[in-house]
Amino acid sequence: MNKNTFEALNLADILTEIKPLSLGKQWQHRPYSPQHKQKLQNYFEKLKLLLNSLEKNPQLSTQLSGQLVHLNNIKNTLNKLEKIQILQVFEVQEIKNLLYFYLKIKKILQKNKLSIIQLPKVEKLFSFLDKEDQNSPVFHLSNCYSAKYAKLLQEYEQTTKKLAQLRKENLQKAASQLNMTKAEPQIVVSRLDKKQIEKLTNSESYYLEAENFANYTFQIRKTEAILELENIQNTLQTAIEKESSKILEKISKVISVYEEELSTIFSELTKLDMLLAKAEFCRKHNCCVPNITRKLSLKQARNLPLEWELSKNNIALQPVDINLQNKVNIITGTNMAGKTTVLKTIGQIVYLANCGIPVPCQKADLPLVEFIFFSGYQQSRMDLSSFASEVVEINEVLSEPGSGLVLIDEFARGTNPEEGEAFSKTVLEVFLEKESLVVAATHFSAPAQIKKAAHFRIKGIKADNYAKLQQLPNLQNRLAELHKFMDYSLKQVAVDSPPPKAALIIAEILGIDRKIIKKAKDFLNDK
Amino acid sequence: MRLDQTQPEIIAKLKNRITSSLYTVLVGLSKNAGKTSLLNWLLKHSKFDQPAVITTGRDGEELDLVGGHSKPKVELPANTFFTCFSSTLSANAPYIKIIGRTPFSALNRQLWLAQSLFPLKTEIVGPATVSKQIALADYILEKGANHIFIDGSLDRRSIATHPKIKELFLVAGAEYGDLQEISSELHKLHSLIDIPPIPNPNFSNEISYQLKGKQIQARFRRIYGHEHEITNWENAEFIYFPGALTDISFNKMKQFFCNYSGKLIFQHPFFLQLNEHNLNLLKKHTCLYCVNSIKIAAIAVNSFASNGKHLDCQHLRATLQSKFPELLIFDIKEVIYE
Repeated sequence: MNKNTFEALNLADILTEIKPLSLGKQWQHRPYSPQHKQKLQNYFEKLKLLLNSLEKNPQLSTQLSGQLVHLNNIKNTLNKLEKIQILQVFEVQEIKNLLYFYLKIKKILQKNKLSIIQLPKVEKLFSFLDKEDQNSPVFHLSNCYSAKYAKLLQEYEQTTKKLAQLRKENLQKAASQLNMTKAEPQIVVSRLDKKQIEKLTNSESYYLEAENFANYTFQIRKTEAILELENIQNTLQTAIEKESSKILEKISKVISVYEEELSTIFSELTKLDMLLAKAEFCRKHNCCVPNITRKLSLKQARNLPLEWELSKNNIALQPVDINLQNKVNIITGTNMAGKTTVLKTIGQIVYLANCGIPVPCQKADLPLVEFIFFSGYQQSRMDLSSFASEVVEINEVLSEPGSGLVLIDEFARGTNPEEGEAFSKTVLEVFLEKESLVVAATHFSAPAQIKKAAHFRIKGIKADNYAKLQQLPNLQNRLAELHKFMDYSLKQVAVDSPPPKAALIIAEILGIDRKIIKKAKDFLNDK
Repeated sequence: MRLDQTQPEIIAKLKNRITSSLYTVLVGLSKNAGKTSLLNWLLKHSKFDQPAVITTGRDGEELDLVGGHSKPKVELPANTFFTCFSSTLSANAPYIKIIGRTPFSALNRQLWLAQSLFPLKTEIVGPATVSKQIALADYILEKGANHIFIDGSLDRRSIATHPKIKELFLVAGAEYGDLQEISSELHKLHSLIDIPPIPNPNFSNEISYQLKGKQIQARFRRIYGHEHEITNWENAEFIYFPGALTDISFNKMKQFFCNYSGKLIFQHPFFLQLNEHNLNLLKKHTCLYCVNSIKIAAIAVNSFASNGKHLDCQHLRATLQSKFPELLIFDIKEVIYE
């Protein structure tokens, strides 16, 4: 799908409503190709299972999201495992975190008899990383990993405590010797306070560490015992570091045995995050899981971005039924009847379904397509006129191999009507020879003569309602009422049915000077 | 030498102030004021069983990134929660518990939460914005910490202006300037914390005023650039400012402020970014209120200046104590004799 079509169909607005909690945030929505129809159908089956379970167990969504939210993207760590490298301590914690929340999710899924993702066995690995049976995602290099390490840590702890005690005693001794209330390891004395300076300089407890033009800084003198213990502490630190590296190497080796399972868990949890996000999207926006078929049939289809926009003004969107059995389908209707909206709705729904996303319909049967193309979006190339852009785009799509969905909005409206009409009809006839499903909206009469095409018309406004609208006092009132009187539903019409003509009436409702309308009508009558 | 209070008494008073709140916020009058030394001292003396430390940016790095001089490391007692980069976790692996990756970042790098198993000298890192710091504090409290020490900064974007923060530990170091400059700044701060809080505040984030009982939104947030417009509200019963008032704006509106009889309400005292003279003028001529108020729990003085402009420690302590007798002023490196 090109950028123009993606923008024209307002797909970004819809996709932002699918809100994964953690791992799924990296997910890129990509349509399944027609060769993978079975895969997509299987995926939709899983989505249906999840939706059923969410319906049965109202707590399930909170239970799953409560775990999923804690997951982090640990792709780099998993890549490191593939290369059998030694993990850093924080990477081990990341793996423990993944396992901890995975096992919780596994329990929830099993309790709800939901088999929608693969659930590898990794309980032993978690136990190995949770040596002290804390049953938490917190990790530390436990002394259970090595007797030598345990001994070193114990000695380090004892030395640290002893050192703290000796330092405390040293300060107490200094305080007592100097008649101080409480001694601090470092003290600062004014240069003018000769008496204190002399006292501290001559004391056994402190030594002059630094002096400046304002003050003298004294530091507590360490006893032999303290110095000795500090040395021991340093030696122990070096030994502990060496041993901790060995432990990390050992842990990394054990984890690397589970490399495949961990990769599976990571990708399966990403899928689960996406499945839950799509299920929540489905529930929030009253969507359905579509069926993948050859033809397109949508019951009560809605254009979500338009629905959200209208709801801001408390206007309800009218859902439409769309049933397309032919290869080429032509839609006509008056101005403002919603032809473009129908095209966009079809495009949005087919795209969502092709990406494995529930669609805003009551029921949807639709095909898996190789591409989606929308022609007529006025954001075309700057170097070309609107007509030229359309021609370039149509030419590209005509040469596109495979079966796609081609949505054409008022092709050739930007050139002279006579040539445009002929051109439009011919292009649609060419599409009859192609594999794609084509839906075209037009005001031209000639395409209505294409026999092999299906012809639809948007019902629009009944003739007697136009008169009611014209009587309303101002433009705002007329616009508001126009929406109420408009029937956006599609009806199939016979070949050769001329497109409805109501441009002048609509222009009059929109406030164009009646004299202009009258002159235009006179011109038409003369013709 | 100040002999009216002995150090154990000071420690007892400080402990009382620390334990009265969930947060202990340290701010310095300037960069290199000595906050890390005070933080280490408070951590050592407060003895919480599960404390946490949060900083603004980096703290405890080997060298000052601007000045290039060496800096003290943060000394965490055992069981202290702290946030850091992953490299710190690797360097201290045997001595810490890794709680996990946090949703916060600093300097475009992910922050991790860990807890020390042994006393640890390390570097800590924290988010730069106030909202993220408070969110991080809540996150750590959820993970089991029971007190948060926040190494903050003193400006209008500081953690000190957050409504949850009610008290500050202020570090007044020689780095800020000479004794007169320090005193002047402390005077200013002291007069800012005097500003009474307004009961039941209900304001949006725009400047607003009340005329004949009706509150009117000005549709702008900043005073700067709108001084002329604001001076037309001389009949307003009150004017509320959510942002800062600077000397530039004040000088343009001096006449207006001197004649205004309504209430002037600011979001926080620290949003009054005025020199001492202008602040005194404003306080003298107007009825000032603030939505959020703040107190100074204690002032720690530091005679050392990394720029070499040291102050006589004895003179510094004595002067500040005599000028601010009602404040708890202490020096962690002071010798006190029985």
